[in-house]
Formats: sequence, C-alpha cells, structure tokens
Amino acid sequence: MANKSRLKRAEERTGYLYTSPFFLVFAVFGLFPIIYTVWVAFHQWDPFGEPTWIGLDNFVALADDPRLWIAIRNTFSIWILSTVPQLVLALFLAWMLSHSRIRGNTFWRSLILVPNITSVVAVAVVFGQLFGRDYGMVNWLLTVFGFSPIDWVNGTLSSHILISIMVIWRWTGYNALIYLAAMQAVPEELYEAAEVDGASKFRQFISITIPQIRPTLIFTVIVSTIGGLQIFAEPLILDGQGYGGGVSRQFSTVTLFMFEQGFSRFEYGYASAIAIVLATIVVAFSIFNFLVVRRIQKA
Amino acid sequence: MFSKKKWLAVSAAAASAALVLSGCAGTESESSSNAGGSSGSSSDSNQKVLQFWAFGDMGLAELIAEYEAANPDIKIEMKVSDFDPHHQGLLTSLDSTTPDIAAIEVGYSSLFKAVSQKFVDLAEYGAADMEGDYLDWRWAHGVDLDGRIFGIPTDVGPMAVCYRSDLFAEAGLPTDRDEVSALWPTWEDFIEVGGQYVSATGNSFLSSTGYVWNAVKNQSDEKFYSADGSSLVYDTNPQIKRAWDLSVAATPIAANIGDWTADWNAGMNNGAYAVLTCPAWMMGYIQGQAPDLAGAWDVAAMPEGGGNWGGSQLVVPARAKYPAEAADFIKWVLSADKQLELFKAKGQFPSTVAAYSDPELLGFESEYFNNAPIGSIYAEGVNTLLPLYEGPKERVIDTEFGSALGRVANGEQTPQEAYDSAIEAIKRDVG
Amino acid sequence: MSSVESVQITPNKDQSGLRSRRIRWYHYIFLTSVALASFFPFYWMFVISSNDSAAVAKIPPVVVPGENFLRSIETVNSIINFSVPLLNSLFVASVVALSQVFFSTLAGFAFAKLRFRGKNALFLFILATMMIPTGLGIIPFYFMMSNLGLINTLASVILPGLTTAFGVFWMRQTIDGGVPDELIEAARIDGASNFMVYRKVVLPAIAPTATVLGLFAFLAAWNDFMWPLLSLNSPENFTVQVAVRQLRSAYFIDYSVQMTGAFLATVPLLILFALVARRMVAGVMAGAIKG
Repeated sequence: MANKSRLKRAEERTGYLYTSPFFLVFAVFGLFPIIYTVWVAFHQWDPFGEPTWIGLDNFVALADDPRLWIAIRNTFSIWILSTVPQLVLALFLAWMLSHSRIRGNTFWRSLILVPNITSVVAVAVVFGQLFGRDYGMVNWLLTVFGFSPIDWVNGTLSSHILISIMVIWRWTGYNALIYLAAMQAVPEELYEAAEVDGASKFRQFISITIPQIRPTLIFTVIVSTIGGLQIFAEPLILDGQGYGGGVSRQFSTVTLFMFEQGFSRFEYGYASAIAIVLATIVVAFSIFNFLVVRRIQKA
Repeated sequence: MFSKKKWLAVSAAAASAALVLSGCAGTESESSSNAGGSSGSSSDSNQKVLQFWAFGDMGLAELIAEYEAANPDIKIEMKVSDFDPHHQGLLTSLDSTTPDIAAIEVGYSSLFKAVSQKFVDLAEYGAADMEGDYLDWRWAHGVDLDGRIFGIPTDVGPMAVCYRSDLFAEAGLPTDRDEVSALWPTWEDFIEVGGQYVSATGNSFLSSTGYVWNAVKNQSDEKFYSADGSSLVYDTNPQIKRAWDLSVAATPIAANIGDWTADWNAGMNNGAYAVLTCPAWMMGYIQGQAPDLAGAWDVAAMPEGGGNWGGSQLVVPARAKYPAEAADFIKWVLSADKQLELFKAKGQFPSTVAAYSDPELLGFESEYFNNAPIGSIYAEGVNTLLPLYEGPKERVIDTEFGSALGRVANGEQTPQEAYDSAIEAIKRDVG
Repeated sequence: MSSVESVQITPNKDQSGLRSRRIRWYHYIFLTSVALASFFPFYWMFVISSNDSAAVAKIPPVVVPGENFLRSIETVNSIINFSVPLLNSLFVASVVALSQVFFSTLAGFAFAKLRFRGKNALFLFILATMMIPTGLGIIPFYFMMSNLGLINTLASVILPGLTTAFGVFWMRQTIDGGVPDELIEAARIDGASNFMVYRKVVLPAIAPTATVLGLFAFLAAWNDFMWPLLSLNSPENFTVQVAVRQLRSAYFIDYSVQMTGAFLATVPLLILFALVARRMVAGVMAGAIKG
C-alpha cells in the first residue's frame, strides 16, 4: 500500500518536473507581454502620452466599428477557403507518400516543404506575377479559355481566393509531413487484416488510417484554426501600401486590423482590445472545431 | 533508436562545432573588416561602438569607413530593417535600449516630431549653425514646434516627370523636354494633355491617380494641419480639396495600377502608361527594370513647381549611449561637402543648398534618359517647395485619402461618396 | 531490457507488405504537380538571382537561369559577410530544435502517460496560451528584454524558443496515439523509472514525429525575423534573416540582389531537408529491424 502511494507521488512529482520547463520559459518570456496587452486594452494609449484608463470604452467602440466586422467576415471567409482544402490535401498527400515504395520518397518529402521556406519577397513577386490584373499568367489562361480577366486584388471573393491559394501553397506540405509521421506509426497488421477481408484502399484509409491518427488530426485542426484565424502575412503582401487590407478593406483580417491600429495608427489600447477580441474568437472557434473533429471514431 | 540517438549526437556535435566556429569566425571577420583589429562591441574598452539603425542601405558605407579611419576610437555598426518595422522598432526602443543614430524617413518624421523630446536637441551640439546650409522646407522636417532640432536632413527626392518620348511622338505630342515642360504649367494642363494622349493612343497616360495627389498636396504651405500645428485643416484646406479634385479628374487617364506591383513593373517596359512622376532615386529603378528602353524615357519639369518623395533625417535618441559622438558623426556626414560627395558617388540628391551651384551637379546628365540634365532639372524643382507642417496623424490621413482615390478608380464609389467616406474615417480616427 | 524489446510492436515490418501498395501512374502525376508547384517559386528566386533585376518585369516571364549568379553572389558578399550570419543561425536553430524536441517530448510524455493532479487544467492552460495573439507583445517584450540586458545577444533569440506550446501539444498527441499503454506497463514491471520509460520506450516509438518536430523547430528559428531584426544590432550577432535585410536599398527593391540574398539564406535548409528526410525513413526502418 505504502509502496503504491509512494510510486504515485513519485509519478506526480515527475509529471510536474517534466512539464515545468514550459511553464518556466512561459513565465519569463510569455506571461508579461500577455498581461501587458490585456492591461493596455483598458486604456487609451499612444506614443505621445501616458496610458489613460478608460475601462471598456475600447470594446464598446469596437462593437460599433464596421472595420472590425468587415475584418471578421474576411477572416472567416479566408479561413474556410484556406484551411479546409489545405488539410484535406495534406491528408491525401501524406497517404500517398506513406507508400514507402514510391520512388524518390525522400525527394518528395523534401520538396513539399519548400514552400514553407520560400522567402516572402519571392512569394510576393511570383504570386504578383501570376495574378496580376493586366499581365498575370492566370488571367492570360482565363482569356485563352474565353473567360474575362479578374482583378484579383481588388475584388472581395477573388482576393480571398488568392490569399487562400497562397496559404494552401505554403502550408499543405507542412501538414502533410505531420500526417505522414503519424501514419508511419500505424501498425501494418491492421492493414494486412483489412486486405485479407477484401477492403478497398479507400476503405482502409477511412476505417484504419483516419481513426489511428485521430490525435494528430485533432492537433492539426486546432493548430490550423488558431493559425488560420490569425493570417496576416499574405494580406500584407497583397496590399503593398500597408495594413489596410485593400482600398476597401476587402481582405483585411482581424490580425491585420490589429496591426494596423497598433503599428500604423499607434493606438495601442484599441489594438490591444482587438487582440482580446481575436483571442476570444480563436478560443470559441477552436472549441467548436475540436468538438466537430472529436466525433471521429476512436481508433 | 540508433538513428534517433545518432541524430541527436550529430546535431549536438554540429551545434558545438558551430558555436566554436562562430566564435572564431566572429573574431576573424571583426579583425578583417576593422583595420584596428579589435573585436568591436565586446572587449576593447577604449573603442566606442555606435549603433546606427536605418531602413535601407543609405550608400553610407564608404563615408562611414572614412569617418572611422579619421576617428579610430569610433566604430559604427549599421543595422538595416524593413521600412515599417524599422520605424516601429525605433519608436518601441526609445524608452529602453536605443541605438545611437537612426534614420527617420520623411513620411514618418511627423510622428517622431510629436515625441521629439525623446531625441537629443542637436542644437546642444552646434547644429543650429547648420540651418542655413539646407533647404528650409527640408530643415523643417527635423525641427519641432518648440524649435528643438531633433534631426538633420539627409537627401531629398526631388520630383520631375519622366515621360516616354517615343509614345509622345506617336500621340502627336512634342518630344523635346523643354517643349514638354511648357505643355503643362498647371495641373489642369497636365490632365488635359493626358486626355489628348489617351484619345490619340487608347492607352493610359498615368499609372495611377495617386501621383497627382502625392504631388499637389505638398505644393503649398499648409497640408493637413495648420501651419502652427494647432488644428486640423484637412477638410478645409483648399489646397487639399484641389489635390483631391485634380486626382479624381485624372481617373480617366490613369491605368489604376498599384505602385511596385508586377503590372507596374511591366508597364515601364510595355507602354501601359506614358509618364511617371519620378524622384531622383526612381531613375535607377526605371533603368533597372527597362534597360531596353534607354533613350525612350526622358525627363521634364513637374507642373506648378516641384515635389518631394523620400529623404530622411538622422537623429540621436536621448537614451543613446554615446550622444556626443553620434551628434558629431551626423553633423559630419550630413555636411554640405559630404552630401555632395555622396551625390557624386551614389546619386543621392543633396538637401544642402550649396550643392545646387556645384557645376558637376548642374552638369550631371543621364545617358539613359536621353542625356537629360537631371542635375539642373532637380535643382530647379527642389527650390520651389515651401516649409510645411506635418502633424502626428499625417500618415493616417494620407492613407485614408489614398484608399478613397483607389475606390474611385475601381468604380466602387463616386468621387463624392469616396471623399465623404474618407473624411468620415479620418474624423473617427483623428478628429 | 530484453522483455521490452520483445513486446515492442514494430510498425512497417517489411517492405513486401502492404506499405508497398501499388503505385499508379496517376499518383506520380499528382505528386509531380505538387512538387512543381512547391518548387517553382524557389526556382524563380534562382532565376532572378542569376539574371538581372529587369527579369522581374519581362513579359513573357523569364524562366531560364542567366549567367549572373556568381556575380550576384559577389555583389551580395560585398555588402555583407554571409558566413557569420549563417553560422549564427545554424547555432541558434540547432539549439532551439534540440531543446524543443527534448522538452516537448518530455512534457508530452508526462501529459499523455503520467498521472498527476491538475494535469488536464495545466494542459488546457498551455493550449490557451497558443490562442492569444502575440503580435503586439513585441513592444513590452522589447522593454522586458532590455531590462534583462539581453538586447543584441543571441540568447535573446534562443531563450524564448526553448520550448513551445505547439511542440508540447503535438508530442502529447503523438505519444497518446502512438505509444500503447501495454508497452509502458511492461517496462514499469521490469523496474524501469519514468525517465527510462521515456528514453527506451517512448522516444523510439515516436522518433519519426520527433524528428519532424525538430525539423519544424529548426525552420521556425531559422526563418524568424521580426524579433531578431529588432534585437540584434551588431553584425557579428546577425542571424541569416537579419543579414538578408542588410541588402535593402532605401526606396525600392533591387530584385536581383534581394533574391540572391534570399536564395543564399534558404539553400542551407534544403541541405538540411535532404539529411533529415533520410533520417525519417531510416527511423521507420530501424523500428522494423528490431522486432
């Protein structure tokens, strides 16, 4: 009896010990900025004066601010257009690459990660050239097939699609590698048994692979939710002039709006309030997505 | 298991090797770049290392080396960041660890002017004597409402109109630059000529209406704020209204292509537009993007005087470690002699008035631009601008107007709607 | 530890099994399209670097490399010395990667397999920290680092990245799904301590995923630019991303120079990919051999 509880306590101590490094690093480097941001959200503060307490005024103003609602609309639109196809594509890609007999397997695995490391300037130039209104390759193709060219950047849906393409391009390979690593751990015997039972490849994928990598799926869904709702790099690239998200804010995202208020308008209080609103949205939507994905049959 | 361990071991070895090597390489590169042989910021106690933050390579590498050679106890380390992060970072740093010297671009100077007390008053180091050397409207960028001199000007970006003489010829317009300059003494004339060009060729004249806006808004003695800085006049200043109306009027002759986009770069080559308002530094860019069009581009004067696009101030934050040394360097590198030297080496147009009588500057021609005497063209234009107060919310106001013009160009709003929405947005953000 | 070995389930036992499902030609077409789309912009960086700036504007676009590559590199080298930043980045990224792998797998193991009070609350707290936007935090962060005296040190870019919520979350999920409880029980029965279980059971089982985490952590540290750009002031402390920024001219983009710099900053990563990708597959094989 005593032995067991001693073991239990040892296990507890180990648990705290093994998880403490994160909390240590967080306490030193992560906590202060968060507390500070929350504190500033209840103040009016710009570089020209001292912070002034204004309570909930920032939040009240935000509720009335059409720019926030446009940004929220854009953020969700871009999220759906970019995150869902990206994860599906990544799953499919990982499934393909998990056939270890594919020739040049390590070659493909390296290649799909290249978008993730391509420099922002190169991305801006290439996509700018592909999707230029007058001389872009995509519009050229459209006209070849009899369609009229699209002003990608200035349209609302078109700019969302363009941004989503850029995001999908950049992150699919990344997620594919995550899935691939998880798929490697699925026991071969399961597939063998299914094969014997006459299950098709697709069936095996649905009934074996997906449930077996369920924890990883949950992970990617949550992480992509968090990341997808905070997209700002691609919209920033698209609007060469600044953080506005286009002349009619057609692709302004909440994070971009936050940066605009913080680093372009220098209204730190207002920007911090946006940060809190964004955090709330991220938490809520992450919980929602988690509940959706959780329904995948446990392995 | 083996591969994982091996990988860990290999990486650990690589990391330690890198650590050792970087230590060695650091010292090595230190001593090879620094003739004195000391290791810079770490150990040498009689050497003062000044940190210099900039938003671009300002062409100062040789001048810095010259200064360091003449002052062996001083070493200047420059760090270039992206444009906006540079200024935001500088602002962030002002209350804790700051650089000794920083460059603030003209567009941001109004913001920093509002916190000018966080910078050293360079008058304490004798900068007041230098005032007469500079264009007064450029000098004004570095002086706040109390007369504190928080920055000294670097170069200017004087504007002229770069035009495609070959396309002008096709449209039946004159091609000689003096004749072309005579075509448009006023902006209204400019737009009319543009209309003629569009009717004759079917192509756009300008790349975007923003060019008209950017020029006209600066061609007076008041812009968005009153001259004494006490009130906002963006909605009452007739010059601003005129700038707006002219820009809107230019919509039919503009191609609605954003600056620095792929279409804009292509347009330099393929005639999507025939004119560009170009400051001195733009010439190098055009040359780089359209090398095959040498001689087809030429330079004429801008309507109603000049314009400015670019230039910066060098400042010394109040919390700098070596303010006296920093001030000394700034005064030296921005003096009339050095600015002229820099022009001859790198083409940065001086803000020091003495340079404008320098025969070499006046005689400076650009082969690419059909041997245009750009030295004298710019020197003329640069003298016409007036000192003009820019306030803390300068960029905010400008951005709103710019977006509004964009919406007009896209056909999303009528000019009146766009103007009203801009005013409304500015009122909400600024007052 | 022989009984541990004998109980070990070996994934991917042999090549002739189902892992070698028949690969059809259209699979290759799909993969090739993905590969082309992935690689093209990077290839384009090289094309611009080896031509001149005007290549960016040409219609139809230039797709063939020019002869200027060596000259571009010379130009870049005359502006900045790339070797020091490369070594700095290598050092920073390696330390961060190793540290993250170690701490994330350790914490992930604890959250997945150990029992301790408040475990779920602690884990949810870690998740929550991921959901707070940190962009504005750079302002108080700078102030704080300045007070700690860490501005302009490599430590300032290493320390904050030693362990991340992302890594902990991922490893917990991986260990949860990929390490059967029976294995751990068996090891415990054999008298293994928690750390032994971690080292001999958990780590080998999740080696491929841990490798990918290390790779991703390395990439993130290598590509990080916002904070390093603010904190690192002296050329001897620059990381590669800061060094590339030194090539900026004040008003416009010289594409050829920028792309050359970006290319030089990225090529080491490709080398890393080649090394690590082999490891990932090898990790799989090693697991197979032991059974």
